[in-house]
Amino acid sequence: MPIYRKFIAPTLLITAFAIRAPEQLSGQTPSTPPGATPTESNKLDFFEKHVRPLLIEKCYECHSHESGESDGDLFLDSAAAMQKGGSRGAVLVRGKPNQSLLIRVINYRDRNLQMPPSGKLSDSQIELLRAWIESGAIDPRMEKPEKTDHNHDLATTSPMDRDPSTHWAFNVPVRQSVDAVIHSDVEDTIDVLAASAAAEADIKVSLRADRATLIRRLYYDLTGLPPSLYTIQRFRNSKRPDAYHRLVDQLLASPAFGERFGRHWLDVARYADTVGYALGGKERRYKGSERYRDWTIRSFAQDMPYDEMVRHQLAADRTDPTNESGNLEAMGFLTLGRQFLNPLDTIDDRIDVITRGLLGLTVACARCHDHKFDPIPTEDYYALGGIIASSQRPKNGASPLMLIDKPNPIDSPVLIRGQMGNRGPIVPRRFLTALRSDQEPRFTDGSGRKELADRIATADNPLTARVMVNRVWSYLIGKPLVANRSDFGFRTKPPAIPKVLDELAASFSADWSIKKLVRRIVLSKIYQQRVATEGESLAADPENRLLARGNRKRRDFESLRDSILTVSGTLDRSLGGPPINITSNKSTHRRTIYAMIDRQNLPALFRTFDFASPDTHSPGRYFTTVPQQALFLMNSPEMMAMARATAGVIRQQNISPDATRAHTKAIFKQILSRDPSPRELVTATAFLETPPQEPKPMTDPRSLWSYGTATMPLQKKEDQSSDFSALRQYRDGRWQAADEFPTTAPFGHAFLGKSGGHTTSDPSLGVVRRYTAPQTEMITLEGKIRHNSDQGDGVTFLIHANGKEIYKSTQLNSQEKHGPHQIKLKAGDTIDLIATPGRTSSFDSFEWTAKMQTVPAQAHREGQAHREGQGAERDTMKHFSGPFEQEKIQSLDRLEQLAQILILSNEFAFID
Amino acid sequence: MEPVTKTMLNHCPTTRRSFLKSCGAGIGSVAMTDLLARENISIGEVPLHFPAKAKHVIHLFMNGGPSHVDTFDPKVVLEKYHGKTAPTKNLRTERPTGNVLKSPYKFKQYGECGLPVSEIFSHTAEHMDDICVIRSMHADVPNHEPSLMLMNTGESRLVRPSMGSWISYGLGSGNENLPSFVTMCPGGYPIKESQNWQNAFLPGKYQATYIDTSGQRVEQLIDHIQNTSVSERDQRQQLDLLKELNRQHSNLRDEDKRLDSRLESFELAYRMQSEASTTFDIQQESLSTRKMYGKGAFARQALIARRLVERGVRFVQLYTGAGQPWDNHDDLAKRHRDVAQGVDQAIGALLSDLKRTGMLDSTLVLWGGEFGRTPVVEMPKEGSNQGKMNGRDHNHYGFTCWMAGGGVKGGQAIGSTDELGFQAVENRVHVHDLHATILRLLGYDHERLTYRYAGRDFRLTDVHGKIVEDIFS
Repeated sequence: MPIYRKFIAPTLLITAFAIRAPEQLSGQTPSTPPGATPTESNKLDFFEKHVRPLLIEKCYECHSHESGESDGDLFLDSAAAMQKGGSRGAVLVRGKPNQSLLIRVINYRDRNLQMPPSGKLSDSQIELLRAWIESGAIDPRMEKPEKTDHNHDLATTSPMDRDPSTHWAFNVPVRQSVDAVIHSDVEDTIDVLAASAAAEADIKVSLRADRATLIRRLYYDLTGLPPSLYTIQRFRNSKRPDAYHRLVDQLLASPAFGERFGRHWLDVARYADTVGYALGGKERRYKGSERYRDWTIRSFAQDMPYDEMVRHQLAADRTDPTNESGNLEAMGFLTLGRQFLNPLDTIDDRIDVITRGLLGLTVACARCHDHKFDPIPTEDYYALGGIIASSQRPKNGASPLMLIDKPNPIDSPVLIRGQMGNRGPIVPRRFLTALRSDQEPRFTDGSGRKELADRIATADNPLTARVMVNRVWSYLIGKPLVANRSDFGFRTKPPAIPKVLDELAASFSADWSIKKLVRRIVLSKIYQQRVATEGESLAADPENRLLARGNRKRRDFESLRDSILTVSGTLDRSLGGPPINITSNKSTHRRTIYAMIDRQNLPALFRTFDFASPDTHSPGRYFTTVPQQALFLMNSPEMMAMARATAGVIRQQNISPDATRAHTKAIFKQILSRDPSPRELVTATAFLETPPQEPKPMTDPRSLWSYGTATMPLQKKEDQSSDFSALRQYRDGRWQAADEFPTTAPFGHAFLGKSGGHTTSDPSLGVVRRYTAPQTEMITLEGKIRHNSDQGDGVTFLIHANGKEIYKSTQLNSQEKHGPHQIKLKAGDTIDLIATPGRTSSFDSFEWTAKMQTVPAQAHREGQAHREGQGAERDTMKHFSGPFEQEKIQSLDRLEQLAQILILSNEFAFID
Repeated sequence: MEPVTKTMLNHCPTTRRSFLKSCGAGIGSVAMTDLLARENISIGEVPLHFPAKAKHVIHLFMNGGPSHVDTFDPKVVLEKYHGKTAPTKNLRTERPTGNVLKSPYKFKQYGECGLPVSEIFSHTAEHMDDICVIRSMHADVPNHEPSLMLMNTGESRLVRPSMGSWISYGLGSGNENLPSFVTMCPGGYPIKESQNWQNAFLPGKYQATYIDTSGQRVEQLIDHIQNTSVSERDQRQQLDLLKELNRQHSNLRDEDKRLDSRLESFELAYRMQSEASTTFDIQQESLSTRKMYGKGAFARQALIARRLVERGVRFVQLYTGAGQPWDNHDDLAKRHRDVAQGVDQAIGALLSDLKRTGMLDSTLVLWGGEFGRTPVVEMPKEGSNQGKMNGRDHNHYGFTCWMAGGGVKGGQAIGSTDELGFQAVENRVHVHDLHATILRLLGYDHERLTYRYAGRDFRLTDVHGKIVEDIFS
């Protein structure tokens, strides 16, 4: 019960709401601006901004479905509930605060009814509620408030009846003009717009970041790689006024820009190199998948206009039918999705990637019913479905990725509730209702894919440019203008400064040049601002919606891996080609974008570092912090290799080995591209100067077993070692006494192998497999002995622990299991598995396999079990071996350890 | 009350930063680490909707589809019709089926409740007074892939988060030193592989950590849990240096929670090295405990499962084995017995062990496959069960799951199949209903455990789900 009460504490309730409607609430308790009043145009906003949070914070704990409480039979969590009231009748009278019960009780005027009981609201809070009731108590909350089931309508009017032109995103963006330059530091229209918005909200705008910060930021955003110290110094010291412009142009021209933006696009396109699940070991690799990846990289690198990119991706069979310009590969956008058993699911996947990816519309929601929030009827879904269903892969196409129109394209029926056998009316292949006029003719050109592409890739489409600009903005600025990057529907609010998006989108759709767009954004003051805030702006705008400061970014998976490769001097910059498994033992130094993406079993490494799901279109990356990331960075062999390579770069600089400070400086420069601060220099140098401690060698279980003979009965413990003598020759998987086999008495046929052996010819000379304990440990020993012939007189099996017999058994054409025996051993103690013949050694082949589980003595104390503290298995079969060379452990020296730590630092992982 | 909950109540996120700042360097690093550790215990992303007993789930996944009429849903009438045409028409399943096939096993009544259980589950049967058998389960299609997806994610075709991911998302981790969702399967994957425990559009941390339990040592079980190139002491010194450098870095900057939590994550990982080593080392259990669970990989995973939930892991899924061990289209009498032998003792031991430690109250144990099997024989088919007529086909019309612990009322059977065991008829429980009920046992209204993605709120039960009211104790 106490847990339950805990969860309805007001702050948590607010959090719960914020999860559902992030755009409505910042999660902060609202501060009340004095004299705030709802105006005609912003009544809804007024409610959302001031009234709803207040009700949630002060009233819901006792009066809401969420808390399950309705004291006085009263709910205050929907408009209807407030009208209905509780045991004392209606809570409010619209327009008449003085007659409203609510105002009376919050004023504490009635001695018997004072709400909230925890304490009177502040005057300004009371004033807010009064003003709200006075202005008509506009309240959009539906009954069963915040019901998140998508079966429930957002509002009472059907979304199908909504006029698209009433939604901001469905109106074609226009260029913006600004009256005057308000600050000499500001040139671009978007900067003026942002600066005015900040000024209006009384927020101080951050200063321009210093050059070292800017170049790091630019390198990350445009290439995903870190700049070298030399590059930074050249830029910092440049006297040219256009140094920043030149740097931007240089990076835009580098192939790394194509790789960086190509990878962004692959998230949109849910790119993978495999089909997903395939029955019965069928080939999973998508033949030629990398051609789409490389086309994407190339297109961004060559600044192919975005409208063209869209047309190729949807209809390259028309724009480049013979693949003359290599654009057929673009169709991987449609064809590289997960392979589904049901073709309807493939169609769904393609509708989704087109509509969310290119238009920011969630058309796939309309598969089973009309869209719940947007004017997207089910007919729209099947209109697009018909286009895709009328496309097919050719038998001998110019690209394995291409689609062509079927010879007889057909319209698709609506499938009622999305069910295959439940056909509704046939829908003509055409564009989305909300984005076309009633008079617009249906698609007639083949499947209609080309017409669809043309209707998307046009400046007349209000969404295409906005959606792409918003994506590019989020890549560069670190936060999107429109929070729901792939849903620009009715429920999505416009950006805080809508004109910034409109201005950029309108100018982008004039030429569709991505590089021009990127260039404009990175040259803006908004982009170049410091992350640090001025004054109280953090508290005033915690989400940075008014763009008054920079956003700190964390390196994504690709950039982190690529950057580590860069500082270790091992990055292989070659471009394109077949995908490479980057998680196999064989190390590869190619950029991460060339990694094999197996969508069926995406390696844990990708998931751990929040790689985009390759199953569906991904609007944006998550950035989680989990210990598995740290474990990889701390312990993986890959990271060990990187630390060694990085230190190797420093060693090549021939710094005197004694000059530890110089080493510290050099390694800071190599990894963080800067000099250490005096304090860092002291700490890191002290670290370098402390002698390392060699890691405990991992015990090679093979080394714990030896193979030999011993005189029976074995002597007492003291001279045990002199008694055991090793078999000297290893031939064909057997330890034996001499080169020739059989050899002279008493050895005769004696040998020891993987699963058993043969006795000597002397009953007093046993063949022995000896286990020597590497540590103090408790062992549990079990095994199986077997003699396989009814001739001769059998074999005697003995187990001696430190010379003491603990088991003895004779088998003649029979078998037996022994154990479990529990034995405590000190380091160096032995267990001997001995076999001896009877009077005759004829037919004395035997089988004997045994296993031991060991628990180190100290592991019994919980928590003391680090590394050496775990149990291990010893197995006579598994760990049998001929002569071998023990693997040498390569430990990290101090310089390498320091390199690793700098790579792990927050400074390396975050971009200011 | 378990320790995790206590810590939850002490959780006080708003004051940490100011606390650390005000203490500055004055506070010892041990105390600081301790503080961070406690704070990192997550309270989950979604507050509970109801008070609940269950805080962990152990899902014993009998992949391949165990036959209900041979395990927990005996049908005496099969004897009568054995070898004859069934009195009702055979429902259409994946493959052609023929005459009635009686169960090769004996059933006995167990416990005070007297519920009948097949001899192949005699260890499990000792716990019938704690077990609630649902005999009226039904799913959508008689094929493995979609049915596995349905059972695990509530959706047979499209990519959706698995139940374990949803529950991890809702409840958060109970121990940040360990993953919150762990899946174990010896020797490889079940069919559909890692899709069975996918996070889909939920953040990556909610996907299960998969462990192949054919390995036994902890470094074979968890990626990068050990470092053989840096000694423990040196790694501690490395992390101390890292902490120092990071602190200098963040001192120059405004507060940013992300910087702190990344720093913390290295400390957590450091602790996880020993925590995981301990958790996965079942040799630390007494010989008698290990003997109680029995031999083999499933016994090992059952024992690990207990150690995991004990330490706060939310959802542990154990598969019977790679591929589909229960899918016995032929030689069912022998093969079902063999497969059951590999799991029964361990399941019985797990229930005893959980009960002994008091963990059964807060741990919901779920047993079942993706569907059941037909009460009639499967006809021989070239290339699969050629020449044999001694197995059963898939059956999604009716099958059995059972649950124990976590607020479940044991000693009862809910619902029933028809006379032969072909189809659920009374108190039918669809997989969606099972999911809704499990979420309810954990304190969630299945309609309100949602995640906004691609323009709408998704949930485990999609638009379905009816709670099985009789199940609650």
